[in-house]
Amino acid sequence: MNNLEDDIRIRILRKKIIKATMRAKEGHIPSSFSILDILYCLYILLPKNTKIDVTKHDLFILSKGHASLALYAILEEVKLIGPEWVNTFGEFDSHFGGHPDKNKVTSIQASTGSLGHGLPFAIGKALARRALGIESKIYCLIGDGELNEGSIWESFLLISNYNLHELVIIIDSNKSGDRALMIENMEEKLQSFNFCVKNINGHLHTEILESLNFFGNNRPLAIIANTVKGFGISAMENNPAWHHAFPTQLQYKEFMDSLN
Amino acid sequence: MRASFAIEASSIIKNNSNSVLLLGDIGVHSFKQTLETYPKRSFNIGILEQSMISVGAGFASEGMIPIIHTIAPFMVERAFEQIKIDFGFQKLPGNLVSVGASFDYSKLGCTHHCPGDVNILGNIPGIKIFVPGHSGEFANHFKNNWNSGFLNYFRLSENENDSPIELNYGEIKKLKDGSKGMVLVLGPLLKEVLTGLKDTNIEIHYANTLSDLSLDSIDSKLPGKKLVIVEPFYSGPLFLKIGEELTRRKIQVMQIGVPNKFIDKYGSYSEQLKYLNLDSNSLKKRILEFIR
Repeated sequence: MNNLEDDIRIRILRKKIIKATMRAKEGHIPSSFSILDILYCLYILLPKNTKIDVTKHDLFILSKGHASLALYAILEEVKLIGPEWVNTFGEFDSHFGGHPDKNKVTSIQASTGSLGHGLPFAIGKALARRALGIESKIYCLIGDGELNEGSIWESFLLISNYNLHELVIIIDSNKSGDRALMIENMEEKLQSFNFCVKNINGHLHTEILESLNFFGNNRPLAIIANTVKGFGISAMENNPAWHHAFPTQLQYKEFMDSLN
Repeated sequence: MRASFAIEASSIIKNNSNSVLLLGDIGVHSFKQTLETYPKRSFNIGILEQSMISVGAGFASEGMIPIIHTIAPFMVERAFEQIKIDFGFQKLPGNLVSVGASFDYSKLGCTHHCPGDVNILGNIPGIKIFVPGHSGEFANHFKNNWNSGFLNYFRLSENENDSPIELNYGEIKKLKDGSKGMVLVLGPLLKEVLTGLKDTNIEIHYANTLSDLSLDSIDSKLPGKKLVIVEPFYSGPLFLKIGEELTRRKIQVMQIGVPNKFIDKYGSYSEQLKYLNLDSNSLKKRILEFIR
């Protein structure tokens, strides 16, 4: 069980995500909900000297950019962006679109959306920081469906070859890839790249934080975060119809009530 | 041109701590010393072009300037979306240096041809395209532009013109006077054009970059109001830059480039030039049919 106070804060973030989606008639709610606990741990619950502070050296790259709503919610929670994202999401002049844009929001590290780009981009950042003598942690979150992309496996080869232990790869294993090309034995596959692999419940904060503690063991850390797509709203959970859908007024009220 | 690239890129890596070299397992021998001396900034990254581009963009996002090199189709066509998004959309600077386009590797066949590279890359807003016709031209452009803050595409050719022509980015130079019509040729096809048209009364202009041109920037009275554009790739990119102006000025245009077909022949580069009607004799015949 998570801390009640944290759960309440995360419920509020879920409400903001639903509200933004409702207003814009756009957004990927279930994918955002599956990663929210992970981002909450990375940006808020990790101890002060280790949690992500993009104004300092550590970086977070959301490779599965369609979960941008979760990123906006967390960035507001740590005051890296203002609350306006909720009411401007998807609007013509907004800085906050269905996929994150690094040239519009300084605390966003990569403009992602097309899958398979964020991880090799993160490798470039890690190698650059090695060359520049900057010590840092770079977290990259990819989806399990994104593991279908060849560039992800190319990246695994590179991470392994250069032993990029500065990198933490977090796989949001919300099973969205299963209906097309299921990746079986994911843990063994990742271990074959000599990664330090942790297989956890991606909604339990204790497990997320404990897995992140394995950073710094001189091997790249790969965390398989087993999550539920649409976590927190029972009607959405594991329901592919909600992947890219927005609620009706009635559903909106029901969802908001259920999060109270 | 590859030798010139090795010299210039090695020098940049040696003298600039913000530069980084990524090789797609191509040209590795020429960079042996650089790879050994600067292992944190020079990599034979492997045969994984799409990731190589994204890795390069990651370097650029940290303030380093990548120089990325492999054979044209693998870089441009296979990894185009990475170039478009990771460099183009994110507005990151870098240098893509290809070799082999359009059909330099004539004996290797279609898989190694890439006459569409410039047409494709020209769709990326802000990209600077360099089509040097000689190693000296490449060296000049590369030295002046590798750290320009833009995404640059340098198209190395295995076959080059007899001598370099010094031009800045966007410049066009008149090489021959004439009164019947005008030819504007890009990069490595200049040799064939000069040979083919040497005894004609046709004005010849040369460019080795693809920039936003204006006819006003050309030292010409536009003789005969007829212009032939000769491009060493699929026709079109140069016309896109000036087509509207040509129409407004009522100038008739003929476009010559690599024909849009798979070149299912092998043999030498010269043989393929003839097969594609891009050798000096064919060019002369085609151009004189238009500019009588």
